[in-house]
Amino acid sequence: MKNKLRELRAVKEWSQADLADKLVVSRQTVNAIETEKYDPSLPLAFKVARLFKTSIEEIFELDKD
Amino acid sequence: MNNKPNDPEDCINLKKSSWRIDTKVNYWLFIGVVVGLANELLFHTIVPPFDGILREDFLTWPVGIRIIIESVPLLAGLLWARSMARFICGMDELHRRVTIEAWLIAALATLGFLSIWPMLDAAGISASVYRATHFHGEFTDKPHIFLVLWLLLDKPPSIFLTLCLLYAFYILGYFILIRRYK
Repeated sequence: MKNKLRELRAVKEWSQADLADKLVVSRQTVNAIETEKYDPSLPLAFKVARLFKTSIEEIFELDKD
Repeated sequence: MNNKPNDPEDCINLKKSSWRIDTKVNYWLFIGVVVGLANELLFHTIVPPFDGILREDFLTWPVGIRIIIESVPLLAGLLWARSMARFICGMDELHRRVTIEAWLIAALATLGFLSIWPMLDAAGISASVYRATHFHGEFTDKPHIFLVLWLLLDKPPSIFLTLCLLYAFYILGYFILIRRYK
């Protein structure tokens, strides 16, 4: 699954640690999501969307294949 | 308020480990291993210089006392499982997933190892290790790590050995699985 988390975080000028603190996850989890090695659960995806005041579809995109 | 999720590497990564968290999570493991090893050396295993010093007396003790003594490591192991479960509940979702997978691997690996060990032993692995050392299969008056290890393995598995294997396989499994996300 592709995502725009890194871009959104850059706009807010947050570090991975800042974002991890706001989402109450580890920095390793934020990094794994940004590098698309880990797909977040639905509750975490909602949390991310709420934090950036947007919808889940705006941030996460399912791979076409 | 501290809302930082638990990090499994606080207990198992030497570079990041926190003595306070490690003690909080693995306190009962430590108790179980120490009591289990003491039981092994004092009551069961013929390992110099302990040489099962209480082995003969132990069999004359009331059965209730013997059951309590033998059950302490198991109870400690169960309490350790409880503190580990609480620690896992406080992790974030990525670490929780990896840790649960690592525990599953550790449980199956321990079960597999303990199941296959008697067959490997019967096939002569202990004997070949004895020959590879200078003991030539004989007991000596000096404790030796290989001697202790093989004597602990050369019989039905003890709770001491089970706890050690479980934790070792968990650490190995965790570091293999977490590599996927780095």
